[in-house]
Formats: sequence, structure tokens, C-alpha cells
Amino acid sequence: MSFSLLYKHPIHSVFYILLSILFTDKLVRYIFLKFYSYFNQHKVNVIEAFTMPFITLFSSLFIDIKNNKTNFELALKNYYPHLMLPYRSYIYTNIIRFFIQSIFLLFYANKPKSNSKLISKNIAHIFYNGASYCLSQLRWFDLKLGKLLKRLLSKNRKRTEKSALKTMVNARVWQNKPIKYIIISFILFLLAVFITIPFSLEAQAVFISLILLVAYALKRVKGQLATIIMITLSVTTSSRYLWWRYTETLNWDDPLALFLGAGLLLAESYAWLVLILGFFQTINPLERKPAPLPKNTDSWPTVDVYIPTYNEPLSVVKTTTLAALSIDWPADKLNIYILDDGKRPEFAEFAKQAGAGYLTRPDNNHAKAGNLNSAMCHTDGEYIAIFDCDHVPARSFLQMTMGQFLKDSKVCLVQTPHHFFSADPFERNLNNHSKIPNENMLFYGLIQDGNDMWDATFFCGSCAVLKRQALNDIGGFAFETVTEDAHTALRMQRAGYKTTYINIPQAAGLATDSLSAHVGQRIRWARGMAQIFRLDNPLFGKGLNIPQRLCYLNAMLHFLSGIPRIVFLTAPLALIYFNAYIIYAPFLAIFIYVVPTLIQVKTTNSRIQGKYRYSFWGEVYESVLAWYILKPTTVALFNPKKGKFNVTEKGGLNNKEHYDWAISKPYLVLLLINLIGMLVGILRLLFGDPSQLGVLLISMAWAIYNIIILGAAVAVAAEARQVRHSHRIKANFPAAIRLKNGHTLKVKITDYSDNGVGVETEHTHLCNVNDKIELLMSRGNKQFSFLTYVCNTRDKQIGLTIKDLSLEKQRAFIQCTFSRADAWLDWQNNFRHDRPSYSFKEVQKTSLRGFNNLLFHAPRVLQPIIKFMTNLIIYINSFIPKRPIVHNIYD
Amino acid sequence: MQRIFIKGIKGGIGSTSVVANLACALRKSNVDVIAIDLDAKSDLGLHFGLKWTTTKGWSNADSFEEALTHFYKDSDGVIFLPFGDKNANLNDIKTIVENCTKLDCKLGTWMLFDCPSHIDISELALETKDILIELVTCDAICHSLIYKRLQMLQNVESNWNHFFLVNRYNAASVLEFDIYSLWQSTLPFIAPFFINLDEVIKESTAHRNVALNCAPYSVANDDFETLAGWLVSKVAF
Repeated sequence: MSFSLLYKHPIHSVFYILLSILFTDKLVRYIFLKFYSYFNQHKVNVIEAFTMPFITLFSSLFIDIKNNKTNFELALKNYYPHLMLPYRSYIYTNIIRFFIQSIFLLFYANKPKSNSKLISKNIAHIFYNGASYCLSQLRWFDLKLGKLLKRLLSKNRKRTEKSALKTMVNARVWQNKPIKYIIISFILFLLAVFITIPFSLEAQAVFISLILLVAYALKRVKGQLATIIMITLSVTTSSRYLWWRYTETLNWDDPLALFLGAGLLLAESYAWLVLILGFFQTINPLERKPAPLPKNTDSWPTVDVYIPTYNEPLSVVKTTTLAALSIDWPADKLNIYILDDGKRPEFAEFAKQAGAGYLTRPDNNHAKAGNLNSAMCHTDGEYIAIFDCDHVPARSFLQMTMGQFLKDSKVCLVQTPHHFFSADPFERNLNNHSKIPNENMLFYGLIQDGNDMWDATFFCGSCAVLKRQALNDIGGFAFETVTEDAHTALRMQRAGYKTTYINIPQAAGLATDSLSAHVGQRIRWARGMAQIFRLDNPLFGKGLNIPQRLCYLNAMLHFLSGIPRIVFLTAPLALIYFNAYIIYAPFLAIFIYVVPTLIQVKTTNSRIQGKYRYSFWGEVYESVLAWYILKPTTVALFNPKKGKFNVTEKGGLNNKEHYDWAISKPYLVLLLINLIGMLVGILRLLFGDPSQLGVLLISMAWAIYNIIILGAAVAVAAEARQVRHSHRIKANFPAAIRLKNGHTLKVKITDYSDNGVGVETEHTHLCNVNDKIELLMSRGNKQFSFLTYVCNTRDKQIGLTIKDLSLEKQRAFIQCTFSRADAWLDWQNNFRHDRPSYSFKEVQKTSLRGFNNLLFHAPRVLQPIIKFMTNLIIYINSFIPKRPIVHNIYD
Repeated sequence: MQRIFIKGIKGGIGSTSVVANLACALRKSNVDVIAIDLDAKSDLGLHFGLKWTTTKGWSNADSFEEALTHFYKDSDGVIFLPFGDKNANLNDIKTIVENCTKLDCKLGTWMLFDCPSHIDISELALETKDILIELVTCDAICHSLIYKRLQMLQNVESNWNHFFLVNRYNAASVLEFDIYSLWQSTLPFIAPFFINLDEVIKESTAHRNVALNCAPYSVANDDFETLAGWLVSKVAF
């Protein structure tokens, strides 16, 4: 220790000397080492840094620090996982956290200590294992029982079907009319008794559980008969429920409750009527098959194809026209016409080049119907096929459909489904395209097939062929309403013609591109249906048979769902807010009547609609539309002449993700009153009258369900981005590419659009962006070559763009892609049958997403509040004691 | 035994490579194949990996017993007989075809003959079961040659199965596309498919192999499989 050092670092030296007096040299060096490390590296202040080594030294007298140091740190990490790091920055709050957690640990650690640790572990083990074992056993039991029942019932049923059913159908008894009526009236009488007889609660419980038991037994049994039994059971339970509601549950003493209760009851009656009509409509879908055409093409009739357009861009109409020109039909018997209400010269030019006709008219009266009527004066084909300008027909369209006309001269319409290759707003905004069947699916997959059974197929305005003769008989397309299509079909049916439906997608188009446009379209349909009911009521008019009337009634009622839906979404609040007993019955009675009936109806619907509409999604779709179709339908019912035809816009872009506040306003309001209702409900649960507990709980459960549905409805309003100008269509068919060096590789086309193709090679390829590549695609036995440019590459994927094709090549391209006969065939097969629990989970997920979107897209003004609230919640959450981290129990 | 005769309607159409690839495709579906080179170029062996220094073939042999020593087998199991480097006239060719037909080989063996383009088919004594594939390319010369051939077929008593198969088809060429479309709609005996133009067929000979082995992911692979499958179905009915 030299004097110069003392001079240089006086303080250090002085301390060094002082410490040397007390400690050994090794310890002194340790103290200084620690001090500098704390002070310099850990930025601890001087006093703390200096005292820390002494504390450590002192405690080392009692604890073996060397061995326990890592343990201590680990323990801190494991037992206090939520202490904020770095500890020093949150020193005060961390103290509180430490304190709370310690208390928690005291109790938490005490529990296993009271027993022997091993035993408690074992008990937990046994409990959990036991529970999961029981569950799996239950599931196994359910499966086995279901299968057993299926075997038993199918066997029996098969035998009865073969013997009993056949003998029943063929029995002479049916030929004797009085006996037939007696049997039918007896069955009806039995049903009436079951529906109307008042049961005591116990009897009702037994009755309903019997019905549920039968339904359970039929769960796995396939076949029409089982479905019909399920339907009968559902009709019985739901009618019985409604009877009970009308006779026993109205509170005549409380005017408010009576008023609200009557409202709910009317809504329920509406739902019941729709349910029954729906059952009737879809009890036996026809699933019509295409009829063969005669071998000799000379006897095939002439067909005009109309492509009406008003304001759509040429690129959209071009694809459709070229595809229509490629339909397989004798060339001298097929004429394509573009009916341009926009009267644009470039369309005339294109039509001339492509070899299609171009028709305009001096005025634009009566919108689409007027356009079609005026075109009928200029053409003379025996049949008229109509495609909206964005529906691209497949080449097989006419061959699939025309057979029906030749088979039966009374057929005036063959309708095919509208298939959309782009996601509709629901699918896009909820991001469930081709995961959940979309809104259309139920109508085109099931209802139209059901209508066909009753000879009541609706005309849907596009992708259909009509008979000119029939149109002439009714004086052309009906133009009095905004849904000219349904009205035209109705008139033709009145005139004694038959309408048919073939559920094979033979054309595909663009879905509406924004929620507001989608809602606008539905508003038009709703208004149109309401107008038809006022102007040309199918229920009472001439010429229809009863099933047809009922099918039209159901279609009409479907669009009146606005008010009942809103009633259902607000009904539970009546009790929560106003203490109004809208269902005036004791808790147990409500429970026994409502829940089993709902289960029965839901499972039946799931059974019938399973492939086309998943459980609970109907409510979501309806809730979105409810508010908007409410006004137009009501207005149209009172004043059918009001309102004009609005064109649905398609093919647009959403280049920014945004939230459509305007359209979701009604749902936000509904959501808000429901949420506040929940708060009120909780308060009432805590401080209210305990005798109301049961009813309150049921109301709250219902309100929670409504909140979930509304959340999903709100989620739809968050418009997702739509960046591609032209939609990519998923595909899977072989083709080939010829590279610049002459190599010709086989590839699989994975997707295409009107200006590009995605291909997948079998082997890693060596293509670069901007390479010129020849794409070879075949149509029938013809191969076409297209010059393309590589726009992106990945391992085995190549994206190709097509530029500047001549019209002839464009036509060839459309023939090889859009108008392939098999292009849309796998449409309905991608969905598995509905499982209600899975479906409900999906709705829940969507609902959560909706709430998330709501927070994310909240207006600027609210953003700080939301941010503050979320931070607050996170902050408060950080104080809540956490379970210690356990790494591995079995160590 | 099934005999397939393959010849170009004119020279240089690629019949030898078609024979080699077809033989390979058939062999891969477990058909026993014997390929016999009837063309004085004697280049079929090159496709099967035979060295160019091997010049001897059946034309060098004085008797069929001696010719038997000139058979080779390639790595896929295709048996083939090169032509050799001596001259042979039509009679020699007829004899070797007859002798090969008499060979005692397994049931269901296929015999592919790579015929030179100038040979007169009617001289070969074809039977009803035999299939003759005449390769063409989509150009105007072949177009006129085909119609000449059709005239000839009308005059001659032809009882064999005669087909025209388009080789080296390139849909990007407007002329080829038009000619092929015309043939498809008007020409009898045209095969319902074609062999695509593919650089790989050329490149594979540089590897002394067939395209099927060199580039399994190329279109040529599919084309020859289609051809083989089509022939098999033709033979079955």
C-alpha cells in the first residue's frame, strides 16, 4: 500500500485501511468487489451498495449462501411470478404484491401441509383422473348406446319400412277415402290432445323427458323416417309450449307485464309458425337430377342468353359474356345478348368483337324487368337464359338444365343455385370463408330443393332458364315490385306452369363486397316480398295449390323476422329492468317448458339443416339484418308502391380496414342495454328479493346468450381489407408450363382469377420473377397456350400473371378456367354436418372477436379511455395473487 | 404377343425416342417389352444406354440364331435388338420381323418395332391384332402426307389398327394449333392425345437415357404414360 495510491484514491484507500483492521484481506477484497459491482453495474446507490456486502456477510453466518443463492432466486421467481421486473423500478407496488402474495402463499402452502403432501397429491390425482375417467366413460357409454340404438332402430325400422311402411302405403285402406280421412283426423286429434291437455308440472316433466329420450334414441339413426319422427316430436313439443304460453302464462293483473308479455308471445308465435312452415317446406327435398337430352342436336331448342347490365364495369361483363359464348350448345341455336341499360359505346364495341348481340332501349323504365321485357321484343329464342353480369356460367349449363323442358312441356323455369366464389361480407369480416356454411347455403342447398318438392321453386333472377311461351302468357317479366324474379315465378305458377330447381352449381359470381351493400340487397328483397304480398297475394290469389301458398308464405314471413328478432334480443330485459313477469309462471315451470322444447327444436333443425346452416348462425345472420329490414317491410306492407329498385354493387375494393359504425349502430344500442341489464341483474342478484333468484338467473342466462349473438353481429361490421382487384378462385386441376429453356413441366393449378393463375410444381422449380412462361391448359381435347409472366415464386408455388391477351385467347382462358363444367361442383361437400356445441363455440369466438374489434376500432375520442381502462385492468390484475410456478410435480 | 409398329410419316419426327420412351413406360407398368430397331441409322440402342462403339446388330448376323446374340437388356429391363451397320433390304426386314414374332417369349410380351419412315407398311404382313402408329408433327408437309397415306390405305387391304399420333406439339404456335384443331375435327384414325414438345426428350439422350428416367416431373412423363395406357386399353378390347 503505497502513498501514491492513497493520494490518488483517498476515500477508497481510507476505507480499505479501516476495513483491513476488522476483516481479513480476502473479505476486504470481496467487499470492494461487491461494492463496485453493485455501484457500477447494477447502478445501486452508494449507501446500499456499500451495505449490501455486509448484509450478505452477516447472513452468511446463519445460512449457507453459497449453496442457497440460486435456490433463493429460483424460489423468488417461482413463488412470486408476477413481481414486476426490474424489481427496483416498481419498488413500492412490488412491496404490496409481495405482501399479498405472501399471505396467499401462507394459505396456499398451508393446505397441502395440513395433510401429508403425498396424500393430497394423490387425492387430487385420483379426483382429476376419476373425473376425466367418468367423463370418458360417459362419452363412451353415449357412443355405444347411440350405436346400439341405431342398430336396433335401423334394423327394426328397415324391416318395418319394408313391410309395415310399404304395406301401409299400398294398403287398400287408403283407397277408401272416408277411412283415410278418419285415420288422419284421428292422428290430428291425438296431436291436439297432446298439445292442449293441461299437465301438472310432474306430468309435463315426465312427458317432455319421454320425448327427449325418443329424440336421443334417434340421434344416430339416419333416414327420412327418423327425421319425420323428430319433426313430429318437435311440432308436438313446440305447439304444446305455445299452448301453455297462451293459456297459463299471461299476467292479467299487471298491465305492463301483460303488454310486454303479449309482445313476446306474438314473437314466439311468429317463430313457431316459421318453424312449422319450415318443417313443411323441407320435409322431403326433391334433389332433382338433370334430365338427358336427345342424341340428335337438331331437336334441341333455340336459346337466348340475356346478360343485363346497368353500371358494372366492362371487365366484369366481359368474363360473363365470353363464358356464355362458350356454353356447349349448337352454335346456330345459341344467341348471347348484352342488355345494356347504361348504353355505353365500349360495350357495343366489345359485343361486336366477341360475336354477341347488344341491345339497348330508349328509356330505363322498370329497371331490370323492363330491360328484359324490351329485349324479348328483339329476340326470338324459344328459351331465355338469364345471367346477372357477374355470374360466369359453366359450359355445361344448358345441357344440365334444358332436359327438364323437353321432359315436361309444362315446365317454365329451371333454376340453378347462385354460387359465389368470393367471400360474402359475413364470411370475409368473420374470416370463416368455407369453414361455416354461408347465409346463402340454406336457401340454395335445402329450401329450394324443398320448394321443388311442392312445385314452388322461386325464380332468383339469375342462373336460370325460362320458357318464352310462359313469359308471353303472363305478359312478360313482372315489373310491379322490386323483386321482379319472385313475382314472375309466382305469375307463371298461377298460369299453371311448373318451376324446377337443380342443385348443381352451374355458374358462379361475386358476392357483395361490403356489409352495407349486402344489407341493401336484403332490404330490396324484403321490400319486394312485402310488395308481392300486398299487390299479388299468393295466399289468397287464384291458381296455386296449398303447399305452394305455404311455401310463399314462409318466404314472406322470413323477411318479416325483423320485429320478432328484436323482441327476442330485448325480452329478458323486461324482467331485469322493470320486474315485469313476461312469462308469468314459476321458475320450475318455465325451466321445464322452455329448455327441453328449445333442445328438441334445435336438435331437429340441426338434423335437417346440418349441412347447410350451423346451429346459432341463423340467429347471427338474422340479428344483423333485423333492424334494417324492419322498416322497409313495414312500409311496403302499408304502401307497396313506395321505394325504387336499387342496384347491388359488386366487385369493389376495401383498401382500408375500417369499422362500419353507421351500420352497427342499432346493435351497439341493443348491446349496450343488454350489458347494462346484466349489471342491473347482478346488483339485483346481490341485493334483491331472493325469491326471484331463479327467474332472474334464467333471464340473465338469456341475456348472456343475446349478448353473445349481438357480439357476433357487431363483429360483422368490422370491414376486413379486400386488396385483390380480381378474386382468386381455388382450383385443383392439371396443366403444364413450358419454360424458356424448352422444359415442359406438369403442374397443378391451385387458383385462378381473370388475370392470373397460381400453379404448383411437383418438384422445386427454378423460375424467377418476371420470367416469361408458357402456360398450357386443356379444355376437352384441345390444348391452349397462354403467355404469362412470373409474378411471385415460392418453393413449389409459382404465381403467373396474364397480360394483353387477344380476345380469342381471353375466351380460351375463360373456357379453361371459369367455364369448366366441374369448376363449382365441390361446393356443398366441403362442410361436415353441424355439431351444435362446436357451432356455439364458433359463435362465441366470433362474438369475442366482435368485442375486440369494438375496442380496437373505437373512435379517437374514446381511445384514451379504453386504453386507460385496459391498463387499469392489467394493473389491478397484477396485484392478484398468482399460483406459484411448479415445474414438474413428479420430480 | 402384341406387336406395335412405330414409324414417322417422314424422317426426323422423333419416332426412335417415342419407341424408347414408350418401351420404358410399358416396362414400368410391368409389361415385358422387346424393342427392335428396323432403322438403318441403328440409333435405338443409344436411348437405352448402349455405347456408340457397339455397332453390331441383327443385320450383321447371317442367321437368326446368330442374331439372338445381339439382344441387350437395359437397366429398366427393356430387351432390345440394334440394327447393326450392314445394309438390309425390305426382305431382310420382313424376315427379322417374322423371326422375332416366332420368338418363344413370355405370354403378354409386347414387341415394339422402330420402323424407318420410307418403309412400305403393306409389305410387312401386318395382322388384325397389330397396331401401327404413324407419328406426325403439326405442319403442312405432314398434312399432305397424311392425306396421301389415307388414300393409300383406301386402296390397300389394310386390316391392322392404324393411328396417327402428333409428336412435338406446341400449342403456342398458331399454325400448329390450327392444324391440330383441323385434324381433330376431320381426320380419322387420329389418336385422342398428343406428345408435347419438351426439351427433356432431347436432353435425356445426352444422358444416354429416356425422358421417363431423367425427368419424372416433366410433361413427357405423363404423355408417354398416357400413350402406354391407351395402347393397353386398345389391346384389351
